[in-house]
Amino acid sequence: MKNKKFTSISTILFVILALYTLILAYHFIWGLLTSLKDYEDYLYNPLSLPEGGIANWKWDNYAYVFQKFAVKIGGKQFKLPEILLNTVIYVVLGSFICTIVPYVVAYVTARYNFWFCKVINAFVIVVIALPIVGGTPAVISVLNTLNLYDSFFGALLLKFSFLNMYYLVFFAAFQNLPREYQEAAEIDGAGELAVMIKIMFPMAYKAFLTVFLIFFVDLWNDYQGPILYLYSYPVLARGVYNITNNYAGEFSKTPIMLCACMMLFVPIMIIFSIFSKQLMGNISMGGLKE
Amino acid sequence: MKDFKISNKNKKLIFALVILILPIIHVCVFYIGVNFKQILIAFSEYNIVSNVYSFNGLENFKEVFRKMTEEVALRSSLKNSTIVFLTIGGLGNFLSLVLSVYIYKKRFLHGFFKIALFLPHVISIVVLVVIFRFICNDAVPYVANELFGISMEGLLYTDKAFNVILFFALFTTLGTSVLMYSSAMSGISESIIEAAEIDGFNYIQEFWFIIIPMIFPTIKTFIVIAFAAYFTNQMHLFTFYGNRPDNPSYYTYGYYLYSKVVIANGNETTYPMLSAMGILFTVIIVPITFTIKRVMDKYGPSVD
Repeated sequence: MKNKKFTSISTILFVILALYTLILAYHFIWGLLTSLKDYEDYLYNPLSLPEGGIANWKWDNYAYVFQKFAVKIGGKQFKLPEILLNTVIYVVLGSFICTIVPYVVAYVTARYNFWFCKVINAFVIVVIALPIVGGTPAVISVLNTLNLYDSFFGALLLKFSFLNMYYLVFFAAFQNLPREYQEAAEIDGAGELAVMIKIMFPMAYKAFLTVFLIFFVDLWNDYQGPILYLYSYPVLARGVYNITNNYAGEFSKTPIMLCACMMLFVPIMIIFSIFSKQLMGNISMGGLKE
Repeated sequence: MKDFKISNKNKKLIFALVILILPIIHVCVFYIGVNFKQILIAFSEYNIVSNVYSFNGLENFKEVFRKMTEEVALRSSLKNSTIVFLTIGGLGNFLSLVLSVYIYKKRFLHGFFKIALFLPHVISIVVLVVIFRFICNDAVPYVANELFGISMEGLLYTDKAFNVILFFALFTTLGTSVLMYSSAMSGISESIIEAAEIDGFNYIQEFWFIIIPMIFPTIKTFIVIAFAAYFTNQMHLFTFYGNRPDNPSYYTYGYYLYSKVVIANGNETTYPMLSAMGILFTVIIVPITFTIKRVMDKYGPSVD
C-alpha cells in the first residue's frame, strides 16, 4: 500500500517533469525548424515543417546571417569576424581571470596559516552574504575616473575579483588536499611557487576546469555586462540581442532572427555535450563531489 | 660578511603576500572603493560641464522618495517585485524542492530530466526569450484560430503579458534549483532513509521529517538569496523589452535600476539618484536578510 502511494506521487512528479522537458524541447525544435523556413511559409503557418525535403529547406538563411550579421554602434558597423574576435577575447580571457584569481587566493588562504588568511576568508563570507544594491553607477564612475570605461582592459579588470562563491569551492578543495605531497616536495628543495604550480594546482585541476567551464558558459551568454562595460566592442550575445530587439530589414523576419539565435545556441550546446559531466558535476560549498 | 638567509616561515610569508597583493588591491578599489564612491555619489550632484561631483545633502534621497510616489515605473515596481519574489522565491523554491526528490530518488528517466533541467542554465536567455516570444505571439494565436476558431492577439500583446513573462521566469529558474536541491539530498545517508522506511514512514513523512531537516541549510540559503534578490531581480524584462517596456507599469526595481544605467551610457548625471536609490534598498534589505537568516537558524528544523 505504501509503495502504491509512493508510485502515484512519483507518477505525478514524472508527468510534471515530462511536461517541463517537452515544453523545453519543443522550444528548441521549433526554433531550429523555423530558422530553415521561408518567411512567407512562416507567416502562413508558424507551426508547419519547412517545405520540401531536407535538401530544400532554407539553409541559405544561415549563409545570409553569416554574411550580413552586423551591429551598428554610434556611426560604426561591426561585422561578424570582429564581433567573434571580441567574443573570444572577452569570454576566454574573462573566464580564465574569473577562475584563476579565486583559485590562487584560495590556495594561499587554505594552505598557509597566517592571520591575514583567516581575515580574507571571513571577509569573503561576509561579502557573499551581504546584498548590496545599485552599485553599478559607482563601478562605472570609478572606471571613468581611471579612464578604463568602455575598454577591454576595464571590463576584464572587473573580473579580477575573488569575492564569489567559487573562492569557497576552491578553498574547500585545497584544504582537503593531503600535506604529504607538499612536504615531500619541500624536502626535495622545491620552492613555494614550484609546490603551488607543480604539486598542488594539478591535484585540484578538476575544480579549476569545472569553474572555468561555468564562467565560460556564463560569459558566452552574457550580454548585459558588455552593454554596460564594453559598449563600443560588441560581443556575439550583445549582437544577437541587438538584432532580435531592433527588427530592422531582413533581420526583422522570424526565420532570419532565429538563425542569428542559433549562432549563439549551437556552439554552447556543443560545449555542453562534450563537458556535460563537468558542468553538471555536484559543486557544493564543501568542494566537488565526483 | 654575514650570509643573509631568509627563514622558511618568512619565505612562506613573502610568497603569500606577493600572491595576494594584486587581488587585495583589486578588492580595495573595486569593492571597498566602489561602495565608498556609491555613498559619496548618493549625497552629491554631478556637474556635466565640469565633470565634478558636489555635495548636495539629502536632495537625491528626496528625489528618490518623490519618484517612488509619482513615477509609474517605480510605483508598479513595489507590486511587481513582490509578485516576483513570492512566485520565484516562494512558489519556485517549493516546486523545486518537491521535484528534486524525484531526481534524488533516481526514478525513471531521472538522468534525462537532469539534463533538461540544466539546459536553461546553459542556453542564452536571449535565445530562450526570442523563441518564447514568437511562440506566444505567433504560434499560440495560430493554434487558437485553427483548432478552436478563436481570434486572439499574441499573448505578449495582451494585458496578461506580465503574467506570461512571470511564468517564463519561473520556468527558466526552476531547473537550477531542482539540481542544487537534489545535489544536497544526495548527501543524506542511505541508512537514515532505510530506517525511516522500516519505521513505516510514507513519502510525505519522509519528505517532511527526514529530507527537509537534512537539507535545511541549502533551503535556508535559497530563501535568503530570494530575499536578497528582491531589489535586483529583473525577471528578464530587459531581454523582452530593452529599455522601454510596452506597458509603463511593467517594471521591477532590478529592471528599473539596470535600464536607467544603460540609458545613461556612461553619462553620470543620473548616477547620484540611482546610487541613493541603491543605498536605500541596501539599507532595507540587509537587516531583513540577516533577520531571516537568524530566524531560520533559530527556529528551523534541526537534524536531531
